Amino acid sequence: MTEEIVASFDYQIEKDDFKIAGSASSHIKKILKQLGLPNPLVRRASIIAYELEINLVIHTVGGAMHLEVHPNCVVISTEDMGPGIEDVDQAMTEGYSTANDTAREMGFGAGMGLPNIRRCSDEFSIRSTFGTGTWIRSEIHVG
Amino acid sequence: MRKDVHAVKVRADRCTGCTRCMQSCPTEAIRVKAGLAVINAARCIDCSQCIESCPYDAHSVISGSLDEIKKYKYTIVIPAITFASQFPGDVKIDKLCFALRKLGFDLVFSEGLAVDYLKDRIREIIVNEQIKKPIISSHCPAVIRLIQTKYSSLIGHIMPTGSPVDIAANMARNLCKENLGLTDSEIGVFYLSPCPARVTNVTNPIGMQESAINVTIPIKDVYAEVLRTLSGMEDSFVELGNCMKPENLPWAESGGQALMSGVDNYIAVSGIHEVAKVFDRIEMGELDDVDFIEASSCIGGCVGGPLNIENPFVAQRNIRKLAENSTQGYFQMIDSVLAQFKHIYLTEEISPRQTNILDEDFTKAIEKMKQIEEITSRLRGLDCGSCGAPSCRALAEDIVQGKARMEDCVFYKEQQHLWRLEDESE
Repeated sequence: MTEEIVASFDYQIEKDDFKIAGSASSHIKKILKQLGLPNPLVRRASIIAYELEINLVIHTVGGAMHLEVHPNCVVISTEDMGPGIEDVDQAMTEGYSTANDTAREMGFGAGMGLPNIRRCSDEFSIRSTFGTGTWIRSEIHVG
Repeated sequence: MRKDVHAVKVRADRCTGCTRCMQSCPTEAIRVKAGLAVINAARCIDCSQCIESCPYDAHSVISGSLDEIKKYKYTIVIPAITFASQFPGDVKIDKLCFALRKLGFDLVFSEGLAVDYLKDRIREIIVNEQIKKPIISSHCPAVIRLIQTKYSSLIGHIMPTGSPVDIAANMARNLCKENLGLTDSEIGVFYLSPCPARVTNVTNPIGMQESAINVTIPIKDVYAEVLRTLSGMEDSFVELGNCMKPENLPWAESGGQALMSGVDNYIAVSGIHEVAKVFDRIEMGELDDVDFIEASSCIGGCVGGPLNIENPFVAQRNIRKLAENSTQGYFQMIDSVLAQFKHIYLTEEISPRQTNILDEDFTKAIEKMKQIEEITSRLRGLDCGSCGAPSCRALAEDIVQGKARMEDCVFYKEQQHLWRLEDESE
């Protein structure tokens, strides 16, 4: 069996850094366009990456985002160092938000982030331990 | 297929290979090879950033000249809406029209006449038609080319109407054919342009099969002659057929289209790098609640075009003065022929320009992407431009596509040299 070709990218996302929030997802968008993926797929992946990135900025102490491009799928995942989600089911509900006032004033924190990510994904999984951190994986099928 | 020819050319006698234009290009279309800037036509969007950034005036615009007037039996000149703003606000607009005819033209016909048609249609389209919001103005050809090149997912957002100059050119042609019994080949339509994007649009049109304009001349090329004529004219002079429509002049300013069309929920963005940032936001679905995006490649709108003379912000003040000082524009023949004029839509599909894709084969594209990342990680990351590419990553892309070598990087070359010295001393 030949080894599968995978291009992977890592991004560090800082807590509360609204000024550069979006730069990792912009980079991801650029990469996927250069790879020649169709516009609707690039758009879905960009939305997923952007929502994930904003989540790290608003809700966590900071974390990492990864992009993996396989011949048959695109995987975007994040992991953070906390604080973790108390009730994952509640967090997946549209409109539910724990965002603070600063984030809301900037137009974030509408409680649509996670539901949006799940809606744009072909496969979605989330694991969170309250007090420890959250791991999210989103996959989009290619072709 | 049309040849991808653009108006901006690098002058080898002036270019020093300084890399400023390369660094400012929004589509990374420029490389410096052997001390000379080279523009990749497939990526060029005619935005003029290279012209604006060049301290040596090494980017010239290939355009037409007044000598071509004699090639035609009857000539029409369409001054860009920006034209009047190049003169002090107390200039009389009918004098400007006369001065233009003195250049040798038979008829002065303004873009402003087309604006009358367009402004109401724009509002109607925004309110009534099922086009993806936000709708992006089709006015600026450089912006449309930016969309084709880097934001192809936004093609469906483009306003389906043509821009005033093309509408005006068709109007003027029709008018002269019907009223004067002329044929198309006897009529020469000349456009006085504020920017190279419009020059390119005549030979390489977007959204239409063929341009109704024959010759484009930079505003700056006729400025001195017009000024001379103006200074020699009597104060009391009145020219019949003042068609410049001073009330439509704000169209040339960023925000003018939205203002004149009566659209409230809009973003007016100018300067190609800022336009790109707004397009990034639209692609992320963040601006879906905005009706209209008026995007101009040049700062301040068309008044910021590099083929103008006046500073864009002074020109904006001139527009305000002109609008105050002039009576409404009129055009004698307009009612009969122009009232039936309906050709205001783009007639050809706008297609993406696939110039940034690494490989048609997706697996090969991934492989190339891996190589690009690997090479980028070995480069210094200073984006110094000494290699002739705008960034370390762009160099890595060029290497993988076989257009550059690792040795083009001065730091890599130096390192190699040091290794060689070490080897020799051992």
